[in-house]
Amino acid sequence: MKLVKQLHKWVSLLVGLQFMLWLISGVYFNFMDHHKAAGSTYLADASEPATFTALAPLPFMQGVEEVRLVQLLDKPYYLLVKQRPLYAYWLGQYELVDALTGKPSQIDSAMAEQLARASYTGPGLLFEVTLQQPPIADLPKERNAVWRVAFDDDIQTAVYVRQQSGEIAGHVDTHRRWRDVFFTLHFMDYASEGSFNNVQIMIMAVLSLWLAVTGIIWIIALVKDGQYRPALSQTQHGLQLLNVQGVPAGCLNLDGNASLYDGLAKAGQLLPSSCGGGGTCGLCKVQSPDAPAFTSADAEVLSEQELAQGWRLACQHQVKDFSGVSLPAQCQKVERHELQLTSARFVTGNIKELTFRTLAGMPLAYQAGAYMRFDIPAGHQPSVLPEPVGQSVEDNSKPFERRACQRNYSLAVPEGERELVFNIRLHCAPSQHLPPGMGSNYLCHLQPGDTVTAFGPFSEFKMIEGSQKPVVLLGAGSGMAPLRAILLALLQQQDAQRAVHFFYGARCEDDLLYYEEMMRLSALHSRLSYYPVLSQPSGQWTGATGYVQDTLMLNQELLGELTELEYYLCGPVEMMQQTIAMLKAAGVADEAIRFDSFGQFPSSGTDKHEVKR
Amino acid sequence: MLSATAIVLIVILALLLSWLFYLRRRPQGATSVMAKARKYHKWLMGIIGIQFLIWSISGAYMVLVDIDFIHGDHLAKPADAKLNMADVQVDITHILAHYPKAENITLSLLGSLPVWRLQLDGEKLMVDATNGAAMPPLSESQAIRLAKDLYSGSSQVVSSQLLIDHAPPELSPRHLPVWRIEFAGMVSPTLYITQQHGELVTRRHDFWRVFDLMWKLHIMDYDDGADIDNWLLRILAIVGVLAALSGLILTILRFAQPTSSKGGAHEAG
Ligand SMILES: Cc1cc2nc3c(=O)[nH]c(=O)nc-3n(C[C@H](O)[C@H](O)[C@H](O)COP(=O)(O)OP(=O)(O)OC[C@H]3O[C@@H](n4cnc5c(N)ncnc54)[C@H](O)[C@@H]3O)c2cc1C
Ligand code: FES
Repeated sequence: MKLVKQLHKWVSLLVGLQFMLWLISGVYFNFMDHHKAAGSTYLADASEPATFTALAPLPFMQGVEEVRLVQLLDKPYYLLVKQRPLYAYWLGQYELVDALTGKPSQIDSAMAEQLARASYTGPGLLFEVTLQQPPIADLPKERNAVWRVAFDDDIQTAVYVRQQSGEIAGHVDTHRRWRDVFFTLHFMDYASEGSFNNVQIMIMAVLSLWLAVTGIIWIIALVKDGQYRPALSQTQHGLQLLNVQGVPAGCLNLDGNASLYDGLAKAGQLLPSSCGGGGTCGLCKVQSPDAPAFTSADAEVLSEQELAQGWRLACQHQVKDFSGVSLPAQCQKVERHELQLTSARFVTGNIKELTFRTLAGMPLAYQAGAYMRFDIPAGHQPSVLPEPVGQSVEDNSKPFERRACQRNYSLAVPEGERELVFNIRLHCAPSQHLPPGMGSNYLCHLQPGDTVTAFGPFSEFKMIEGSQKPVVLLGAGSGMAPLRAILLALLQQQDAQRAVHFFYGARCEDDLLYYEEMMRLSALHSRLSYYPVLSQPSGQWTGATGYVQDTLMLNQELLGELTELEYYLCGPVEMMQQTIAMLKAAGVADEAIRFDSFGQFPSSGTDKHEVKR
Repeated sequence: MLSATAIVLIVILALLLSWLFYLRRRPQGATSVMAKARKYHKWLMGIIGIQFLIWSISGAYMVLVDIDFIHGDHLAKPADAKLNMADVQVDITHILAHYPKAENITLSLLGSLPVWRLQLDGEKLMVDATNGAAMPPLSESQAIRLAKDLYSGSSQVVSSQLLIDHAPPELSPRHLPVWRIEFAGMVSPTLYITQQHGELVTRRHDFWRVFDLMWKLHIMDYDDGADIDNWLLRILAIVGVLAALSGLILTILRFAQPTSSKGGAHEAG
């Protein structure tokens, strides 16, 4: 079936235009005036068959197949047929003899003109008589020499008289010429052979047959899949929208009989598609907890795993078959903001803190842990050099070409702040020949006053609602940002007695961003415990060393029962992976662990693609 | 004429292309146009798809089989025997004297016998040019013998029949009365010879008969095959144009679009 659809698509590319030409010319043949299209507008009626008396006897002749007594301009002639063609327009061989005198006779231009006039009823004046040898543009089938007698009437009639026999080969005028244009198109007779047995039309005909057969097979498959149920009445159907994590995110009232794709499009949720609802591109897939049975189109495009997980093609199902769907992240409606940089400073050697303000001046609505998607325009810039704290390095770095792209960065402050703070880790070029990180270099190169475009915020990583359990935050590097936002949000809840444990890992003292701030906060709030952990500390370091996840496990007795806590992780994948494994081993439930991945998801099982957030 | 054809083609192409470029600049627009085109294509083709199949099958048959072969030109030997004037004893003056009202007078051969063929008050008449005697209509055995002489194959005659009032669809009734001589063979080759003039007027075989059926199917004329403008065809042809146009739009948009396979346009890094 997939092959059938592919064939249908590709063949349509090859014959599509000719197909239209066939149909359009076909319609033209239908509606044209046949009398006019035959060139008969100014054609005189055939003269009555004449009777004769007193003729000269037949001349002596040889090699003649047939003798016809004919009348040309009221005079009798013997037409000696020396070679009789099967069809009048095929090549024949004739001689004319005056039947009154018995002398041979010829159609000269004067006589051709008179013959033409006799068969012409139009108002035109004669303006040209020429002898033409085949092929003749106006008469593609004619194989005999003809006199062309042209009149200057409104439709440019030309009367053709066969030179040997004096027969009228035809009238050709504008109407007939147009018909011939359409015949040429319909028969693809571009070599003007006057036939439809040419190679190009044979190829097209065979291809079209393919197109029709594959089309019919497709229709049958559609009928079988129930795709031809007419939507006779509109019935409203409530559809629950879910976000990527399966959490309800609004409800839409749609026409239950429409396809899910159309219904969502009408509601402004245009799913991606490159086939326009044909069930072949697979871009319109949505996931649903109560997905209906899959159709053959679903099965062709989606993997077995996807089908099992409730993925379906929105264009192949009706709205009423669903109660809830989760849309891919990129088609959930996103807000767009222009942000202006107000200040920028390196907070560690390679992490820069950027503070923005919305140009519109409105605070953004989001939950702590959210991120924004930045538009990185194409351009040319020097790569930014990391800055050992306190001393600035000279800007003599290598310039590079920046591709346009989008990058996500987590907000390091909770909702309600006037300023939007981000921690950007600078990605340097791994080698001489490779470019540095596009997004981080662009943002770290911005100067206060510059503006950028960002989308969101997207609140996907966030606290469990309604919970009062003690919180463990665990992270490293730029994973600080969302955790800091959560931490600040928790501390803002003045009355709460909720304990907060923040484990933060870095390489050395200089990499501990917000160290002073954290120390100050933990002094201020007794419920906050801050555990900085260094993997390569200097001699003076008295705090924990090693990996954060190990420090967490070592401090179990300070935390209490591990299963009575909830965990928020953000940092390198291996770090999160190991932490999750340890916690699960200690009996912590899946629901109690939330993590934010900047790159790949730590659990490899569910999603095979690079994570899109 | 070719230049006019080219102009029509170029104009159609230019229109399509400019429309395409217009749509490419509005990708969102392209998707919704595509979804609409898809729907029209599905429903219209669901209704008249079968007619497209019929058009394609009949069209393919007609272009693939050579029309001269269809005409059955090969069924009869080329009739190129020449008149021998020594045999023609009866001159035109004799014919005109005996039949002053004769029309459409010709002198030609019946087998090897020179004959005058003419029309008298709408009736066909044949006169032996060797002795001036009016000839009786062809008997069955004469007709069969003549047909065998004309027939280019070597198979036997399987039937012979004199058609007087009713012509089968494959024969024009103006030729009546006619001897219908059918030969043995896979394709039932048949020659039609007029009874009065002994002229071979029509030759038919099954490929021709299939062609005739295909022609009727192609122009959707389900009774006599003569008029191309019956209303059924008109309506279906127009619906067909719309159905195919929606398909063409789909094709164009489908191939004009960058086919990103999975996921959206955003990268997360
Ligand atoms: C939800 C979410 C939140 C995030 N929050 C933050 C945050 O708060 N702070 C933060 O710093 N980041 C965050 N990220 C990560 C961030 O989005 C970017 O992925 C990161 O900044 C790198 O992007 P880049 O454009 O700088 O580098 P890219 O251009 O993506 O390149 C990545 C690295 O590959 C190297 N490279 C380039 N070309 C090649 C090549 N051909 N071969 C090998 N290597 C090559 C580059 O030099 C660079 O080191 C977050 C990501 C997600 C998904
Ligand atoms: S839109 Fe292409 S498969 Fe549904």
